[in-house]
Amino acid sequence: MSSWLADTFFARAVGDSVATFAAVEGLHIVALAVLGGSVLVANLAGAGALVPAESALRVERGLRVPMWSGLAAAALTGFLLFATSPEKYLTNPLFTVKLVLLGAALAVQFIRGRRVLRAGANNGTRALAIAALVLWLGVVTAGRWIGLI
Amino acid sequence: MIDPTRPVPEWVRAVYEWPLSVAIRESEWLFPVLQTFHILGLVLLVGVIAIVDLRLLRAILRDESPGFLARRLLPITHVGFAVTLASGVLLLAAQGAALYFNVFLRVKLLLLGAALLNILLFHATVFRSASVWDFTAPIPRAASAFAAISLAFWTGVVLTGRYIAYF
Repeated sequence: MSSWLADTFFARAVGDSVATFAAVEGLHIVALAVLGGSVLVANLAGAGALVPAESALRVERGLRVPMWSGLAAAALTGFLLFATSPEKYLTNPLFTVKLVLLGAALAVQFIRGRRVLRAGANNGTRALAIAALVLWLGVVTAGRWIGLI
Repeated sequence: MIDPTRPVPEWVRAVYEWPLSVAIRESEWLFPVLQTFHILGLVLLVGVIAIVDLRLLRAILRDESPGFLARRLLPITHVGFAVTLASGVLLLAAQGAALYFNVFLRVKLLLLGAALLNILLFHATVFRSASVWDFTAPIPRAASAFAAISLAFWTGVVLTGRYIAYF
């Protein structure tokens, strides 16, 4: 399956040129910045920091678009990078760690967002915000180290 | 790699030979740890600036006052800038002599200078009257222009930054 993926035209287009690979990596980081910035601001606002309590709901809703756009762009560019050499990533333990942390971060982020929209900021959403941010921190850190082990 | 046929200035060489630079360069883990901080700082800096810029471009958070939002988010970008700058300076000290002729490093530093100048100009001009357009509907065109330029420059900084390692 993975050699089939590496043979697709898009995997070849990205993998065969250093300039293209680096560009996709760069766009992955830009997407990550938009995603991370939105997550950070939404979680701080939803935890009662940054903005008055009555704005937290609006900020939560207003940041959905950059959050999902950033996630979609990061997932797409991430998939392209993965497709260039699936074997290498699948056998890299940190890649699995990163995906597990990503799944957990998304789950906590989603549950937290729903709670903020339903009941506003409280101790529960504050705890979830901290948990989500720690998990996102783990995703980025694991991501940086994938290329190094 | 250092090219022996192209000598770098004395001070770049001197910084490269600092014990701290040598330690970062020769450590198995210090360099990637600094890179990790560089990326985390970048998220705080560029990610949060992007939110303010997208607001000024009326793309997101249209119900929030842009001036208020900018003022509340600025401290986060200051932390991000401090972390990115500190880690970046250390990474550069460790690699400076090897990267002195790197075209992408030079372009990145130029774009970074342009992005910072853009911030200074924004704050010296249209943002000074932010209290006026805070709660009134229209955002000045100049503010949206500053925001678009900011997004372009910061994207350029990140992309050229990634290219430094490959060329």
